[in-house]
Amino acid sequence: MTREGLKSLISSLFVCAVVIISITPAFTYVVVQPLIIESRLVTFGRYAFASEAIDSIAEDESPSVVGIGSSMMYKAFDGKCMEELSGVENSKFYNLAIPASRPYTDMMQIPRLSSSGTDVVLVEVGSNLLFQMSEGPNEYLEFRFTVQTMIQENADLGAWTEIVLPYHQKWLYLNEYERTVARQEWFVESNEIILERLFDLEDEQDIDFRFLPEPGSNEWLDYLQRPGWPASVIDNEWKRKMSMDEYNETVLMKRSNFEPLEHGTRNHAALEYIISELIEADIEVVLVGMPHHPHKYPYLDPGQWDGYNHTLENLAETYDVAVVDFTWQEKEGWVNEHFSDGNHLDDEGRDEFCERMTPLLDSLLES
Amino acid sequence: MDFTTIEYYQWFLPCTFILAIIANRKSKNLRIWVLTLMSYTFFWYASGWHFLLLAVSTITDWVAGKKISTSTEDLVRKRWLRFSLFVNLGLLGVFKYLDFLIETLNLVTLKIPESPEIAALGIILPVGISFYTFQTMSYTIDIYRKKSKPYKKMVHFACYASFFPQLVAGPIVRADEFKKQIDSPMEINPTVIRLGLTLIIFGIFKKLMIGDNISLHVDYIFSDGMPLDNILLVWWGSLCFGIQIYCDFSAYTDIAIGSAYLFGITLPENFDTPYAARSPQDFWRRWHISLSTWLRDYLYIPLGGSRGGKRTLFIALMGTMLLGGLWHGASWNFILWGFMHGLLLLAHRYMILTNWNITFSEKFAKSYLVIGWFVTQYFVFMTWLIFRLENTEMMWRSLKTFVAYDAIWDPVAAWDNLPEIKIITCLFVLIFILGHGISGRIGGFKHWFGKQNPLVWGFISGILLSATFLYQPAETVDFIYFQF
Repeated sequence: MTREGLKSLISSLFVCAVVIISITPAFTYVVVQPLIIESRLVTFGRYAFASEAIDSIAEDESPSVVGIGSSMMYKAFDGKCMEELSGVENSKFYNLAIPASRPYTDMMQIPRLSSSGTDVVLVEVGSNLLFQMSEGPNEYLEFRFTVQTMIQENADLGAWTEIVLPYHQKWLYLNEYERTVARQEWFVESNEIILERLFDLEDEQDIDFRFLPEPGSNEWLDYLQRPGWPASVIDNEWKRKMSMDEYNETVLMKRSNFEPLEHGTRNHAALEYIISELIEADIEVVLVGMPHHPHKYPYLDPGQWDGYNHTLENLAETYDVAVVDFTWQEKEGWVNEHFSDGNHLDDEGRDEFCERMTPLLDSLLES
Repeated sequence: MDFTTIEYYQWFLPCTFILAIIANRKSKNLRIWVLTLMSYTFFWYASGWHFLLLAVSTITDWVAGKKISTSTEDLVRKRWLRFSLFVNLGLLGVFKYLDFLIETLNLVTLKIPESPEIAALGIILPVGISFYTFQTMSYTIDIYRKKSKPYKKMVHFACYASFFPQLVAGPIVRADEFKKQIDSPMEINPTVIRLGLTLIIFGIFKKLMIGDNISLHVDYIFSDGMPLDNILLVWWGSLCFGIQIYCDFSAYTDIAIGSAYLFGITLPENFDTPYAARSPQDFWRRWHISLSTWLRDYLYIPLGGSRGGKRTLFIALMGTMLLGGLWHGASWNFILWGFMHGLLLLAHRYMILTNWNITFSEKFAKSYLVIGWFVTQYFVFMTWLIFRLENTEMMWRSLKTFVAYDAIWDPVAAWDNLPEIKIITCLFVLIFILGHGISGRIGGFKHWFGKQNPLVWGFISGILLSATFLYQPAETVDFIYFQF
């Protein structure tokens, strides 16, 4: 074998490797990620919008408040309203809560949020979020972990990966190779959609609450503050089909039977991780117990939500963070008209939440 | 393990390559031992205990070849040739055709009262049996015909019979061609290695990106409940299958030839842009060349070929095509497929004998080649329906539609009935057609880019591999010719 020939062979292979390494990860990301956020590849792009949202928030240097949590926070937090009420100049309020989310899934976005320059983070501590995560198949968790981690970067990794249960680890993509392979599964479909657009063959899409504007557009920042909220199905059942009594005896009673745990769950571990990481990044943390429909309380057994009370108490004490407990301490004033169902606020409820939260947030921003 | 599994590229091929280089430094024989052992390892992974059949076939033809070459008595020589044919065709008969025979017998005796139904044996077809039995048989026949001499060492012959790149699906190599190469020391030539890698990359691209993606349309169109009276849908299905089977099989051949290059062995080409063929005869000179030439040398010519008048020609041609069809698989579809190609070849031969083609070419000087190409390909793609559709009802329906008998023309319905990924597949079909056309003109795109400088080679290879990775379907489709 001649030296020249060997050199030529090695340089050929080197160029080939460089092309592969530079093309495949970048292509899969650029093609797949926007279509996920746009809700074209998944039912609701909000499940994957956190990284882009946080990056947009980080670019804005004004004082900022971010709310994270489940659909209760998602339907309660109106950043535009807060901005209007706030006395802090140029302050911005962002709603990053995701329906069906829980601390166990919210923790994935914490490293990026910690380095985003955000001033205050509202962390939902929900009575319905303090349950034991079970090992085993779980479509929702698989979806959330898969979709979120395949569009992350190495900087998004952190101690949260150790909180993820061993069975769920397989849904995490923790290096660029794994992430590229995961995105590849969506690549062909994404290309097809792009070509359909190019040839004007795409089916008309319904513009509803699932619509997310393109990151970076003017609508995008508005969306981060005031997302689209779906009309509640229960709301319709309640107001159109059932009497209030009937609703209370059936739907509401069923939805009040959960018993939050005091400690030891992965959601508790995730909450501790979230709070400690944010504090370490000099971010003010506010723990928020969300308001519940007043009709719910009579259906609770004595001590049924003690797990929630103790959790809130322990976290506040351990980490010395502010607490707003609309569930118990500040439950007065929340009336039927504020709710679209047993758990979620409607427009009036959002205004109420905005009015009650903004002064506290202002004080934190000013401090 | 096969050419689409990661294990082949991750450990098998590199290990075999390194072992062969090390062995080559010690001695030529050691390299041949290494290649033989690794070939059997490959076969073990691909087909399990069936490697024993390969061993039986190898030993049989080794012994028969020796006996034939050393004997001067015609009777003895003939007896050993018969022995070789009996064992090889016996293996094929039992493992490939016995169940088919039983099923056919049951079908024939269905209407005879009280005729017993024989249970099929459920024999699993050993991978590559049609290829290696033909290869080893040709060795014995050539020695019998005194066209070639036997290998000097059994391990050399075993290496020829089992050489892993072409073991499972060809190309079918002649013993003499292989012997010349295995007898000379392995030369590590970076240019040849790069050419080998080029062919492997090209093969992977053709199989995983083009062939496997297009196969999704084929499977979908020819599934139950599809409106096969829509002529556009059937034409599309047939076009897609033609592309799929070519990409699938020629990709295997490319990877086989590429892998063999790494060990200093040149295997024969199996394809030469078959969809550019302008006559049925031209098609068979471009499609599965190693089988066509094998059938020509060991079946068509011994049956009389074109030297003995029209009747002999008819028998030789039709007999060769029928057996060639049957070689593909134990099914009436393949026999019918062979029969149809036999008819096409006879019709073409008739045109030549009657000088009809000359008259036609004089009359339509400009369009003669185009019409020849179109008519040939029209029938080639029509016969692919027979090859693909095992369901008789579906096959007849599709054939009728293909020739516009009792068919409808509905482009919108055809488009709506395609699977979800439509535009990309259409683009792949377009890429294939362009690539096939260009490749035919420049004499092989892969050979052209195999000779480029490192920057161009690395760039094109990187693009091809990236595209393959990005567009490969979730599940890899088995090589079609593995079942033969």
